Amino acid sequence: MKLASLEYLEEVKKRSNADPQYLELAKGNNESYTLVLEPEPAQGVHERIVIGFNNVDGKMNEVWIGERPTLFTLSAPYGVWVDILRGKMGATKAITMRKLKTQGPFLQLLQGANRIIRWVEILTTIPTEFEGNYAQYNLPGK
Amino acid sequence: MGAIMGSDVLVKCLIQENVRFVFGIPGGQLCPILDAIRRFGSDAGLQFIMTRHEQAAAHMADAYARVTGEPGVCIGTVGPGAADLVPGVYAAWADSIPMVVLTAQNQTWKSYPERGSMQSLDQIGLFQPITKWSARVAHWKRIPELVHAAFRAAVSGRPRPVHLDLHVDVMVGTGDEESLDISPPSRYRADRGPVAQPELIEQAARMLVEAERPLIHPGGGALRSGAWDEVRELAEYLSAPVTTSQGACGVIPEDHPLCLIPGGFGALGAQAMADVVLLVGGRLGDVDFWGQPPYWGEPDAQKLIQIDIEPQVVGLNRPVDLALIGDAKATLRLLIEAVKRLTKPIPERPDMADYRATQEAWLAQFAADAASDRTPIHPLRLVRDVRAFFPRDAITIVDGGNTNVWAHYLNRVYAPRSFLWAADSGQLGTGLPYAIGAKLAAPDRPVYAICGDGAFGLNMQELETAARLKLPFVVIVANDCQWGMIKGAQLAAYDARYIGVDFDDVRYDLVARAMGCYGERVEEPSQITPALERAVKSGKPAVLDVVVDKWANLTPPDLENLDAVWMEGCELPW
Repeated sequence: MKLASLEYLEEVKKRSNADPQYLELAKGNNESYTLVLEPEPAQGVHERIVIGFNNVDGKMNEVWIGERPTLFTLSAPYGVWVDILRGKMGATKAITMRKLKTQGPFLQLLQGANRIIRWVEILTTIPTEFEGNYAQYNLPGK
Repeated sequence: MGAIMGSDVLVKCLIQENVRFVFGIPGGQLCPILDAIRRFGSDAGLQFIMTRHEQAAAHMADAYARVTGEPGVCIGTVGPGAADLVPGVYAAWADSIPMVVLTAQNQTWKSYPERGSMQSLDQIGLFQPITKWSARVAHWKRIPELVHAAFRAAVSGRPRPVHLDLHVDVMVGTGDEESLDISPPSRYRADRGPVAQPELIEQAARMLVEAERPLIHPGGGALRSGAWDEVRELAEYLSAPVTTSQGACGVIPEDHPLCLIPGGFGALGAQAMADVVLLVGGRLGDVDFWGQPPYWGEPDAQKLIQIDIEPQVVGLNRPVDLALIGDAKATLRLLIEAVKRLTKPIPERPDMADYRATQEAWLAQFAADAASDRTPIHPLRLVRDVRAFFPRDAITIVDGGNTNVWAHYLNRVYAPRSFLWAADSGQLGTGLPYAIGAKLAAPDRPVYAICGDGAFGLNMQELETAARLKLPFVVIVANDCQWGMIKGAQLAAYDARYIGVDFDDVRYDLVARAMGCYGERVEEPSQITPALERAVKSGKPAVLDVVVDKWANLTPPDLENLDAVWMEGCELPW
């Protein structure tokens, strides 16, 4: 599945909502997120990709492609997202290094840190195709 | 009065400064000074503390200064003695600790430039990068003036080490004592620092009173200035959270309702959400994430008021909205009065409960490991049991890489000048010498040090010093037979291609016993507390050699974050 495609997002939702550890950590969560994957033409990634999702009572509810108002926006160059998904860099480290930029109430984001870490672990289990030169890091899935 | 030797003049000046300890190792060119201490210095309360390495001597002087607020004094002989002081002086320099470094120098007629003498060394040049002031004492008559200048420089403005290079021919030279001015400190240095301008203090008070989410962030300067009462009073009056820098733990008790543990999610969240930050004696360095988003607010949305005695650090890492140049304690006192003129005490702010809840959730992630009964012992279990054993007023020392990170999570600090860590240098090997210096400075207070085994190994020869001085304290060595922080980095970033990070199992408890201390190896979690009891009961310096889980120790939760800060901009090509 192509990273950030609707098919991919539906798979994210399916796996997240079936993961007991994630559900425990996400209990009661009603946040919404926009994720921005910035283009990197030099790496063969030409389009800016914007996706989003919301949680309702701890479950991923709706996923979408495009811009909508959300509580949080996380944006980074495409390659940073690839690095996070292939385990080269943790999401927290990416935030600390200001490679992954955040908008929204930061305290609330910190409160969900363990949930987000688990969520990224779930993403790494999905067979994933990356664009451009990042295709060399495609994830086989588990 | 009559003829007096240069060394005697020096020692009389040290006595006037109420110096209690001079830490060092003897040397031929130092003998005139040591002899003066022996002849009359010791009767006046000045002791020479002989160490087993000059680095440790400097660390002991550093610890003495951290605990008392008075400058520590260390000494080394010409050449290797001076050179060996450097690592210890560096740690004090990095943390702005007042220290007077004395070095013996060869005779004036064969120095600067040297002409082939054994042990010759340009010691002025050697110490220049790690002292704020350095001078040669090249004439007998200038000894009082230069000693006065040294102490004045060490404690004035931003405190830091200073250096005096003492030519041996000047030390053995004589002159007429009546011609000298060996004055008390009140005659040559101010006993209080400057305060910021009143109109700026009024402006700062208005900014804080009008803020919706003010936050106070004291750095090491607040400790050096003795400003803890003022920090606490202002925080309580404004109901403002306090997030200290990592090295300033103890400015406010870490169980105070307004204190948020540095680096914890409650603190990071509060720092990001504050609309006005009062930075007191700090620089917002790398472990404060440079004062930059996301762990602090955007500069256009978050105002920064900075109090510092050193103009050079204003706006160093983050744009400042209002700079108050002055002593932290004196300036805060006036700021409190200005705030009180503008408002009644402000009741607790709604965000505080949220910050505390976030902190509690952050701490909760450590609970299982801290209670773990498994062997080898989890580092968090060790830290938890050690902290629970010692009373609130104990002086706590940390020394290590990952051991230090683990200690940070649960080793709470409750009083100022009670937490010793070479914060800005990250210098290893400080733990045992800091314990010796701290115990000499505060003999009635319990002292313990939590050390990594690698760090402990760097200065463990000082066990003999501690035993000789009969200083009871406890060193807890977290023994994992590796340089854990570096091995953790090699695991995470270099695909576990380990190099230079493993060593053999050393029985540090047996080393301790061989040097006249109490020693015990601990391998079971249930034995940590009983071993601490036996260690204290021994009445000796004690070493608990605690075998910890080497794999658990490799990856404390924040190692990746620290790596992000320290290796920023260094992308590995794989």
